[in-house]
Amino acid sequence: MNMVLLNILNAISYGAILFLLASGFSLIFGVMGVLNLSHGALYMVGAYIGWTTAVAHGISFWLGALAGGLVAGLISLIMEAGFFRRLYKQLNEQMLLTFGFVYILDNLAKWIWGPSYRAPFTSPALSGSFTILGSRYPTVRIAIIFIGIVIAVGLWWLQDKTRAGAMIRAGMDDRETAVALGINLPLVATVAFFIGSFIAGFAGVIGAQVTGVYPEMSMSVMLLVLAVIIIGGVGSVQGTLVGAGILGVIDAFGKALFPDYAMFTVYLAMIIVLIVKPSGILGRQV
Amino acid sequence: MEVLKVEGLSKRFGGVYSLEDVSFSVSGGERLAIIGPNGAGKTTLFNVLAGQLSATRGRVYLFGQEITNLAPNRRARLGMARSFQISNLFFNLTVLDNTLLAIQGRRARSFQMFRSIETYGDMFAKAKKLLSTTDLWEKRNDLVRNMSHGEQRNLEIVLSLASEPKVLLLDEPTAGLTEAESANIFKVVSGLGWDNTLLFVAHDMDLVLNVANRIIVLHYGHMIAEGTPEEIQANPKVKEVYMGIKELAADAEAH
Amino acid sequence: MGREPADGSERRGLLKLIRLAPQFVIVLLLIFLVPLEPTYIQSLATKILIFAIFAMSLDLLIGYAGIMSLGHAAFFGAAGYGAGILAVRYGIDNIWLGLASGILLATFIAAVFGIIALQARGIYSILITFALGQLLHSLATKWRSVTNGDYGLWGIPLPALGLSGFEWNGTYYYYFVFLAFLVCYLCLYRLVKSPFGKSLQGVREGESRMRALGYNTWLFKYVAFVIAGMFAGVAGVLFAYHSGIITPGDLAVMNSGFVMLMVIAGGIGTIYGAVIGAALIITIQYYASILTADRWPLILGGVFVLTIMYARAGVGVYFYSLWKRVLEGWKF
Repeated sequence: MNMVLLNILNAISYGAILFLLASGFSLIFGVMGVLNLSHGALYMVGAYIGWTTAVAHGISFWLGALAGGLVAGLISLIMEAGFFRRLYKQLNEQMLLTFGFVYILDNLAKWIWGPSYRAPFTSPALSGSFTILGSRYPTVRIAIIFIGIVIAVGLWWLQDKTRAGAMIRAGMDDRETAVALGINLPLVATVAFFIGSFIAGFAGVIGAQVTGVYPEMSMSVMLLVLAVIIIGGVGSVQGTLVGAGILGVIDAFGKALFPDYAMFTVYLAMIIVLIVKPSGILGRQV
Repeated sequence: MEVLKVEGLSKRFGGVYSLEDVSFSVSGGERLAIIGPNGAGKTTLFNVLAGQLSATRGRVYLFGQEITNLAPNRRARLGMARSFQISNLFFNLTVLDNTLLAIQGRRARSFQMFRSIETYGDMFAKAKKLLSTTDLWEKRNDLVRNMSHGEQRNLEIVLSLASEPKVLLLDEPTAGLTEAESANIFKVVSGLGWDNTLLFVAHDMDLVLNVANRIIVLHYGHMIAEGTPEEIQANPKVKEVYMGIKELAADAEAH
Repeated sequence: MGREPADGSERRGLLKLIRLAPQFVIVLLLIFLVPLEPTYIQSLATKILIFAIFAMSLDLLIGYAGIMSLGHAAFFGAAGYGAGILAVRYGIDNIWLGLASGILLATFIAAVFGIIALQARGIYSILITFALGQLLHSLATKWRSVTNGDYGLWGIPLPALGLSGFEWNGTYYYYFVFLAFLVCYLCLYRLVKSPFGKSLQGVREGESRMRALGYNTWLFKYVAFVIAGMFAGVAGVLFAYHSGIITPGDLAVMNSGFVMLMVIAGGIGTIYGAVIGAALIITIQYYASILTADRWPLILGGVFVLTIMYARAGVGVYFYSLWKRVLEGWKF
């Protein structure tokens, strides 16, 4: 297959997973102001749940993806109701809490599923390859791109075209006015937190089709989320898309050109963006 | 001697011009009051002069040197100081700590890492002198956030005086104060020496007429009048702007 | 507390001594009691003192300068690798050279990272410290020829003091670490009481006012960042010699979080708080790992959450205020 086309497809499919990951985080941060460092752990938990459903029990992959999202969402509800709510407006403390959650979730995952690596898994319908422009390409990756597009459109529609999205954006922009206008911000925050975490868990299963699952994932995944945010800016679907897209391209071509040091091209990109536009390409000035 | 000069200063926020084409100059020792209805751009003007905001257009000169794009701390080192309309104090520190930080500001000494700050007797003496003028010396170990509004406003002025500035900008120094508290501020302000230049924003016409020897009137970002207090009081445009507001207020009351 | 006239200078001297009683008692215990304990207690005490230095350095950053950093372990680990590489790859185990190279390395990295991290504001600044920390972690994992990758650099011996005929053992190393701790504590204590330290607090409490008062706030933050990195480096070198091995995990964000828990548990913004926090958390971790070899991170995570929820003012601060009330009760 044409090398450039291959890399472009890799870039887009990888970017799609990054987008799924980071959009949830961005939504949560935008609405609640919390840096949820356990977001990567939720991705991992979702992936494990998906594995249990699809591989250990042989039930449908898609149900596994749904289950992954739901469990992640559930955990987020516990975090929010049990803990974040009691630390209302103390953003640094809430972020530190999420650190504690990483310890807990990481170790729980190791306890339940053991420390070994789980190979990539997918739905039978998606295994095999697709023919594009005369070359074969894994179907799984095409599906990922497709899912990414659907969710991106859905989120963009939610953000710009619905009343709920308007409420979320209002909450992000100016809390006091939003509350004064009668918007039930705590409810909006809880819902946004749930949606963001659901997407993370769901993305975990989707991404597992390519990367598999292993206990050390949470922080390395978290780093990717932060890279997307730093490059693209936080708070909007468009910003996350830009960040994920750029990162996908950098990663794909980085892996092709310097396979051992691909990670460092990511860091380089982050540093360049930081010097040129510290709040990210489409980010609002903080 | 021209101490401060402003040329064609404009400041835009999005689509709105908060300041438009403001020009004036201030001589050494002058007391310049900046007045105007709410929203006229007075605080914005101060923010641009002191460096908290950057100008969209125009230039600012301090002692003949252009400072338009200079950072606020560099302007402070040139001898400019300001007080803030909304108290910008170190709320979780003591009154004394607040004052010491202000005194230390312009000196290289602030980088000293090896001696305890308590050994610097001269700074303490200065702090005592400054805080005593506003009866705050007894409260020097109190946390600022536990003080009353009046006391905080007093401290706000003290901090701006601590660096012995050559050009002092006071933004609404008596806002929200009782008559007695305002009188005290007035006493402090009028006690300033003639080698200091003072610019102040105020709504309190008593303060303005008693302290200022020159007044600038802003309205919707434009400078609509400039002159001595007598000239301003007689100025028909000024009367119109203020009368218009008075009439609106009277109207509202009638209904 | 300015230059007030003294009322009987001998009494003032005595007063000061009494106020410092807890510190004296602790120091005496550390000097005389610990060496009498079994080896594992000495080792624990050594580890506590090392992490106390590490925690104090972080407290300078987050408690005094108000800069939240999630990548502080990068300096700790880098210094550890510096000393470790010297010892394992080059056979140089002189402690002074080890300390010098580790501290220099940590300070250099802090100088570079500081410029990048302080570029941005608010959340972005925090994210960048995270990313920079992980960058070093990746480097340590990938650069196998130098760092031995994921297996970690093992076989670091107790360093030579440079005195002929001197034989190290755990107890001597404990004393060395204790001395280093005292030096660091005194330095940091002086630093936070100095004009520089006060200025840092001003920057933390109101940066815009500080700028209006004439301070170059960026410079203050940067210097604080580098100094904090330097002290973290001291801890890192001491740690490498103590553990005998340094791994990429020592550089990772999780280690940064670990030391941050110590600062919070002890009390942010107080140097003694970091020490107490270190003692608390290291002790809890030790006994938890004895209780359950695999599940102790779960316990640690629980402690983390409970501390933030219910004890975030700091246990150390609590004890200090208790002591102050006792003093007042006795009219001291």
